[in-house]
Amino acid sequence: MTKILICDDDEGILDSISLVLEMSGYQVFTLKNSTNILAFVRLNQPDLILIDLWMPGLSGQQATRLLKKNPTLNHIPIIIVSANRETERVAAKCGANDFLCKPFEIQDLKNKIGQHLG
Amino acid sequence: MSSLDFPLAYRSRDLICILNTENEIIFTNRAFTSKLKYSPSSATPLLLSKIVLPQSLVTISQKKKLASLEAKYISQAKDEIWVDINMFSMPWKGQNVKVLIARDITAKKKYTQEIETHKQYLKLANQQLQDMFDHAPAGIALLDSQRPYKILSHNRVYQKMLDHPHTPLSLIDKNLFDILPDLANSRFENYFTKAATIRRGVTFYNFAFTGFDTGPVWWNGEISPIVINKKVIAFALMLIDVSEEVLAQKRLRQELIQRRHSEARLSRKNRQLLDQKIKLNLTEQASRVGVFDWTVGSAQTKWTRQLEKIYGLAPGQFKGTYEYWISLIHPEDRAKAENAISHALITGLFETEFRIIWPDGSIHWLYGRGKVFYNATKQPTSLIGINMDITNRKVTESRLAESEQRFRLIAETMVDLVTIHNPQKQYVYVSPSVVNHFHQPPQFFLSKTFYQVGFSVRLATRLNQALDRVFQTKKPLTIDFSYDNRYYQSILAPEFGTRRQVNSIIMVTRDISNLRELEKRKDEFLSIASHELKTPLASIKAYSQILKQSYSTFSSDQINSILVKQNIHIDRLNRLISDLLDLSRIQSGRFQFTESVFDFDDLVKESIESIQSFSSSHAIILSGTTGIKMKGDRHRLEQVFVNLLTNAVKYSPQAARVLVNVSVTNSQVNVSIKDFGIGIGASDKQHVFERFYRTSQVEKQYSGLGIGLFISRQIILRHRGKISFTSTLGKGSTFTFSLPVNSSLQHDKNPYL
Repeated sequence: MTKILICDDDEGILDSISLVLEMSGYQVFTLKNSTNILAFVRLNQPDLILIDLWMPGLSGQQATRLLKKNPTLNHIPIIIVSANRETERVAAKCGANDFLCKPFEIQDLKNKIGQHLG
Repeated sequence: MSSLDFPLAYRSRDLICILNTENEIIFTNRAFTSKLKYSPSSATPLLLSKIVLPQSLVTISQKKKLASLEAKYISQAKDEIWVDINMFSMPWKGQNVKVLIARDITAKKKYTQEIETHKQYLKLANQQLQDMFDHAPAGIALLDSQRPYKILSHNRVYQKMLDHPHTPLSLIDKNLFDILPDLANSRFENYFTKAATIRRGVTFYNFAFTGFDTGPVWWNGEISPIVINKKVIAFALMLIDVSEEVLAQKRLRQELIQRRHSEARLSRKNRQLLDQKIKLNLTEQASRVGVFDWTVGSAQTKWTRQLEKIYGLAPGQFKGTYEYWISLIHPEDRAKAENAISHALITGLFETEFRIIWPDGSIHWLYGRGKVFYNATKQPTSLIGINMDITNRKVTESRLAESEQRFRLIAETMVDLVTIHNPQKQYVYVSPSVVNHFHQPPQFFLSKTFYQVGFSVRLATRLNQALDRVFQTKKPLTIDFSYDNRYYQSILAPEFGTRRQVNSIIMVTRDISNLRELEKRKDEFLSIASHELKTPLASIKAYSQILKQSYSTFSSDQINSILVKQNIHIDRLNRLISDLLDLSRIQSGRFQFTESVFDFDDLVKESIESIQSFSSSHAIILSGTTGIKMKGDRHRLEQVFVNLLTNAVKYSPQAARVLVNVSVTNSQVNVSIKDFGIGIGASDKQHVFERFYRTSQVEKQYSGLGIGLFISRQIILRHRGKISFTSTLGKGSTFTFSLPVNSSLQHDKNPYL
């Protein structure tokens, strides 16, 4: 079963995306605080990560950089999902594979996930 | 009894008399008689009681044999004569007599008294001297004659003048140069050497002493050697603190320099104008010059037609007398013109400017110049000269002066920094705002280039290039630059000379740092605000799309649960929008309240429930009750609860609980909300209730607009309550507020109190 990690401090986002993805047949992990994301990813080995930018602990940008620097984890596609105006620029800068601006169409989310899971 | 009985006694200089047992004076010598003007006669015997005071009389009567005493004789003229009496008894002519040999000691007595008085005076003077020493406006110290000048004694002022944190409590026996180490080996120390050499006091003025950490002080003073037996045994050091005067003088000097500078500019303008006038073509000038020829001391004055024209007269209208000429002059300038004439008769040269009134009433300015001619006996015979109409020049001049004045006024009152630069790119003028802004006196800038006033080479080069461009293009230019962490915008405008050359460049610089800061905050706010609004919107949108796609397959329970969740986020969005609206209302003074009476405990419970409903991560634990029926705006107070609880949950992501306590004391309710979160750093503490303020821990990591606490505080203040907090970084925060139970809402709407 394909595993997806959602990392966001907003409960509404966690809940609604989980619902969507579970309905699409993914196994979903949620993480409200990105501080221990490296250990969490290493342990659960998700196939794709959705991550917000502004969060307590590590910011999405920092977390992405850490993951992408790690040779055993940098193959995992990361999609930044944020309401930040500069999402596109930040995503490119920190090495994320893709980005999605909040609020988004569920179809777009599904498409991007499908695309990166290839 | 006669002089013959005691010939020696008779001639003695002492006053000698002899008394019988009845104290009658039966013999007096010559000195006695002449001094006291008494001469005994047998008819009326002279009683001793008449010439001595009763007290002395008693003494003399009681003394039987040899005795000596001081007494006072009183002459017939009532003069008092102090005498030193030696007295003895002897038998004489069958009776016992007393011989009194008295020496006049009046002079000595007087002298002693004078000495006594002098002693008193001396004592007083000494006292006064001591007083002066103690209370003199100068600091006075007595110093040892050798370096390092031990302080032997000093007055209070001296102690006060050196009263600085590092000064010992008592200065006695301390070395001057230990207390004021900066003075050793300085110009100051040379004064001692000089004073010792010339054996006279050395005076110094405005000696700047910078050794105190309280800033420089200036002293006037004197170092006097105290010389005994040609040896300097000590120095007296007198110091007067003249810092205030010196500072005042400095300010005055600055002002003077500034004024002189403006005046110099003005006179330069004048000179330019004059040069220009002189170069005017001669024909034009000739048409405005009239010639006069006055025979000194007579009524004969010849005028050319042109001169009559200049005075606005018809040909031949000039009456030819001195008095008539005077009558044509403006009354205010008559004395000046007449003075110029009498001056000319002495010096030989006539030159003045004056106003005349034409017959049509118009006022014209004339320039007059002439030469006096003399006869063989050096008597002035005639004054020949010209008058020239200079009205245009005068008008231009006064306009120029006016515009100069106006310029100065504008430059000197402007908040913007005004500087003027010459073609050598030196400062030739700086406005007072420049002086204030950079805390440097005008001299710091004047005649210096950008490279010499502390700008970086890069900045100085940029500014220089800007000046160059304006000198070349003759067009104004705007440049932005930053210096010392502030942002500036300058407009450089050329100032033209008579031949369209750029004489100088006026640079008007504005500090736009605050503007920039405001723009930056606004940008940040907009970026945060849009983020904050989009986040709940994203959830709402996701839920609604889920419903749209799958409602046919969902059970009614599933649908209901999604709708409930959606509703939570719609409420959140609504609160955000309300907060933004409240903020704008607070800023415009239209923050409305609705008063009602409600159960305070219910409010607390409801607020907690509503937060608890969407934060499963934390348990919000309430302790205490109030049992109070509160008067106030229930909705607004709920806003405060929701806000503080939301913060408590949001900023304690690692914690599992939030503690709420309510209580009543002295008819006020107290609420405290305690979290175990990230806390607030010391440097942020004073700002947390400010608009848009977000602490350094919160920024970039937590969402939020930075307006919740600002609004909450406004609401509490309007209820005449108080809000405060305690916090430890990394341990958590406790926000506390208290509200009076029976208090009406405050209607004063100043949001910034």
